[in-house]
This record gives sequence, structure tokens and C-alpha cells, in this order.
Amino acid sequence: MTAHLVVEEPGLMTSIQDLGRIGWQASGVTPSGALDGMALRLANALVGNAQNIGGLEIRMVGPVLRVEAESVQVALVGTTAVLEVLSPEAARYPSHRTVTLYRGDVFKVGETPDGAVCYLAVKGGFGLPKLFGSQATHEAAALGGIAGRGLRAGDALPLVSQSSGGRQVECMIGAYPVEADGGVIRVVLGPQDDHFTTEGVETFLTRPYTLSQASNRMGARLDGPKIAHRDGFDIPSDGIVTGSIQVPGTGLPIILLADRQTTGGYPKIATVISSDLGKVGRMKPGTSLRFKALSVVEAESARHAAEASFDQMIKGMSSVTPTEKELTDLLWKNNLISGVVGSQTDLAIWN
Amino acid sequence: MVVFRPSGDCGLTVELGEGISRSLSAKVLALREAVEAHRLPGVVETVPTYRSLLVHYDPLESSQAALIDAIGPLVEELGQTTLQNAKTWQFPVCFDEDLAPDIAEVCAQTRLSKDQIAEAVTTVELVVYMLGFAPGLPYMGDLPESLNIPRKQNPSMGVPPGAVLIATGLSVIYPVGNPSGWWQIGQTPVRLFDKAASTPILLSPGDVVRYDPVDRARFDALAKEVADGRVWVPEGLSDRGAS
Repeated sequence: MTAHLVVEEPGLMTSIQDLGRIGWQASGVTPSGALDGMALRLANALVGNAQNIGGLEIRMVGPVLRVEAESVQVALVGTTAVLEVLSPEAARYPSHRTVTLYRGDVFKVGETPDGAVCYLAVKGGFGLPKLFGSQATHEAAALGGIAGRGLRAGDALPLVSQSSGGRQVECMIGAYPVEADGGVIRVVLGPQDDHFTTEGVETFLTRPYTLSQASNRMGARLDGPKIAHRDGFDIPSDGIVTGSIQVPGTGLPIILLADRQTTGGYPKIATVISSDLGKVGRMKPGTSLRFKALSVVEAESARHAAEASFDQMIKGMSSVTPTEKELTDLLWKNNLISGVVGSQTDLAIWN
Repeated sequence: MVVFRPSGDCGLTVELGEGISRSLSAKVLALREAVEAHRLPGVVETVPTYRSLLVHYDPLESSQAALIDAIGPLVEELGQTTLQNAKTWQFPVCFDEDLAPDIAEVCAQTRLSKDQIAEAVTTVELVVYMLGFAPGLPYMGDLPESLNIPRKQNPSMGVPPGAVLIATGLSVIYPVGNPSGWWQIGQTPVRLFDKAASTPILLSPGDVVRYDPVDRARFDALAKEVADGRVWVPEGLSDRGAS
């Protein structure tokens, strides 16, 4: 028996993302992967997955999915939006906890009011091929995911696990910090800040910018005051990192994100620090932000601090309390479902 | 000369000089070999470009200061290294007009005839400086100065896989279809990127490439072999057989 999640409605832009393709940039292969890696890692932890297993990256409006498996555990992280079971029996589950769903359940993640991306992890992950070590969808090169593209209605996403197992442990974490406002984005100046005038760098560091509608997984395009180049805006192409802020001839900065190219010929005024990349990924068009410069050492410390607070969240993960279970009478539902459809085949798979 | 430039807390750009030249590129590639050979802690991957090496690192495993301390001496030790793994390739290229949609414009800009352009690009040995823009796409140089023309003002859409293009004194081959601001002067049946192949990316930085002029019949025959899924690898100057 095959196990799938069937896509009834794809949402605005839902794609399979893991932590990306590592080690192929010298061949021109873009890393891709989750815009907010921390949120995906937490979602994976909630369903007992390794942190780099591919999950669904949901952009602003989530999908409607149907469970075609004995049972499946999922977890939604990075939004306050709820996971809503539409049929056969309506139920609503908060984000940031494990939810066990059963064959025939149709569920959706609606609009995510608080951020541009959130993640739905699935226990065991998706049974899809890896290319360059990753399932991450990269639409520009048609790599990964389902046929190198985002989800479409009718897609059947193969599940690795036929069922979530005999005993379903459900966990929850404290709220994942999601800002309504972009606020301050921390950067390290360079590698080519010397290609800009002193006033240009000052403009960049002191004036507010707004995320443009033209932003996507490749780059966060910003509107705001123009940044003046010192002499021209062509450099011999050099390597790009996720978070590089390039300033082309328009004078408007672009923060390069997961689907960026590996090299580029525009000067890069600064780089967003790795612990603030998720925040940039979560920003919706229209969000206002300012940049603040850190030293390399400060940026590295910030990353250590971010990983420490991530570890705290994982340690603080607790079993879902009975009070919460009462909301949907989940225990009763568990027993009923196991009793009705438990068969030899399913038992064999569980063992 | 070496300049260390921070690319955030996960990247270190090591710049070894100015402009684009073979000697500078050789230094960059030699530094890459040295960095990879030393297996410095925290180094995730390295990306060579014309004049610099970008070292992607994990700040939880190392620090930029530690990497600068380790890489500085490697730069000092760089000699006239020959690349260990560089290969030589011979790509069949057909210059028929329907495979060279920009040839008239290139003739006008360079004041050369079609045949002179084909001869100019097939008599030089090109070095793969770097790959970028798309999986497997090589930036190769140098073309003769007579072919040094700027990019197009308006990129063309739908440039096919295998397109051989020139601009800014360099040549590229498109691994997959893409828009391009470069001028297409021919086409090769060889695939530079094949997801299904055991080596999905054909070329590496430092490889040497020659364009071998073929007529339309030969091009069509090779294109059919490629379409039939037969892997046709043009490695070596003498080895042109189907495998």
C-alpha cells in the first residue's frame, strides 16, 4: 500500500525544502533550501525527524492536503496560524506541536498573517529522490521537489512512513519568535563595501528600507534611498553567500536568499548575518527594516547564541498535555481508528 | 597580494589580484587545491572565481580569524602549480546559421566574416575560469581581442541547451535553456549538465576546452546519440568516439 499526502489545493507557493545542497557551488549549483532553516529544524524535531529532512515551505497561504496513509504525524512551525482539519471531522490544532492525522483526513494551513514562510514537517519525510544530496526545490534550474517545481493540485507526495507508528508521542515547543515587523537586520560590511561612497554606506546603515513586492526565494528586493557606487557597478564575478547584499546599477539593495546564483558581478555592500537570515525570509512585502553593522566576531557570537537558544527550545520540548488532548478527544480517536483499520499489512509495516 | 574580505559570518573571500587573467586564475585554483588538501576545520566548500576564492565555513566549527591564520601561509606558499585534476576536452561545435542566430550582429560588430569568427574560436585553447549562473555553466577564456565585444543590451529569451556564446572576450556554453545577454555563434550537441548521469556536471574550473568545427550531418548524428541517452563524453583531444 502506498502512502501519500495528496495536494487538493497548492496554496500560494508551497515547495519541498530541506537545508539545501552543500558542496556543489563551485559547479554552479545553487544551495536552495528553507528560507527559515531554524523553523524547519524545529518542525522536524517535533515529528522526530533528523533536522535536514525535507518538509513543506509554505508561503503566505498554505495548501489543502489529504492523508492517504494509515496515519501521519505533522508539525507546523513559524506561524501562529492553525492547522485545520476540514473533514471528515473538523478540528483545529495550534502550530508548534505534533499533530497525528489519519487516512482520509483533509487538512489545511490557511493564511499565515504573521510571516511570509512557515514549515510543515512530516514524520519520516517525503520519499523523493535527492539530487546533489538534497530534495530542495529550485525552480530556476528545475531541481528537487516534485519535478523541480512547487506543489500543484493533484500532486501525490510519497511518504516514507506508511504510518506514524503504534504509539504516537506528540510534542510541543514554546512559541517560535515571529516578528510582525522586520525591525533591525544585522549585517557585516563587505566584501565590496569599498565600491561605495562613504555617503552610500551611511545611507545603507541609517535609512529605512521596505521589502518590495518583487521579492522571491532568490532575493529580497528593497525599496528606499539609493546607494551611490564609487566607480561603476561591474566587478569581475565572484562568489556569493546566502545573505549577500548586492547593489546593482539601480542603487537599490537586494538581499540574496536561498535560490540565489552561486556567483555574481555586482558589488556586495554587506552580508546579512546567518542568525538573521530566517528573519529576512519571514518578512512579507511591505515590511520595513533597517540595517545594523556588526563585526565578524560579533556576528559569529550571534550565531552561537542563536544555536544555544535553538538547543534550549529542543530541550524544552514537552509532551502535549491531556488538557490539550481533551480539545479534540484525540485519545479516543486514536483507539477508534486503530481498531477499525488496523490490519496485518499495517502491523507488518509497524514492526 | 592577498586581501581577506568578510562575506558575513559564514564566508571569507580571499582576493588574490585584479582583473581577469590565466595566471591569476591559476593562483586561485591552486589556492583552492591547497585549502581543500589541508582539510581546514569548518570549511564547508570553496568557490573559485576569476580573482578570488570564496571559502564557505561553519562558524560553529571555526572562525574567520582562524581561517585567515590558516590560509595566509597557504597563499605565501603558492608556486607555479599545475592543476592535478585538470582535463582537456574537445567539443564538437556546428556554426550553421540556424544554430548561430546572432552571427550577423557579431560579424557587424567585429568586422569579421562568419568563417573568420569560426576559425578564431576554434584555433584558441580556452580555460574554464569558473562555473556559475546555472549548474555546469563554464566561463571560458580567452578569446582573441578581435572577438572582444560587449554583452547585448537586451537579453534573448529561450537560448537552447548547448548554445555556444561569446561576449566580453569570453565564451560560455549553456547547459540548459535560459535567457542570455551573450551572442550565440554556434551550438554543441554535448550536454554539460545531465541530472541522470553519474557525473552530472561535466566541466571543472581549470579544465581546458577546444571547439572542434563539425558539419551539420555530424552535429545531427551526435545530437541524436545524446537524445537517445547515450552518454557522449568528448574527453581528450584524440578520443572522439561514442562510449
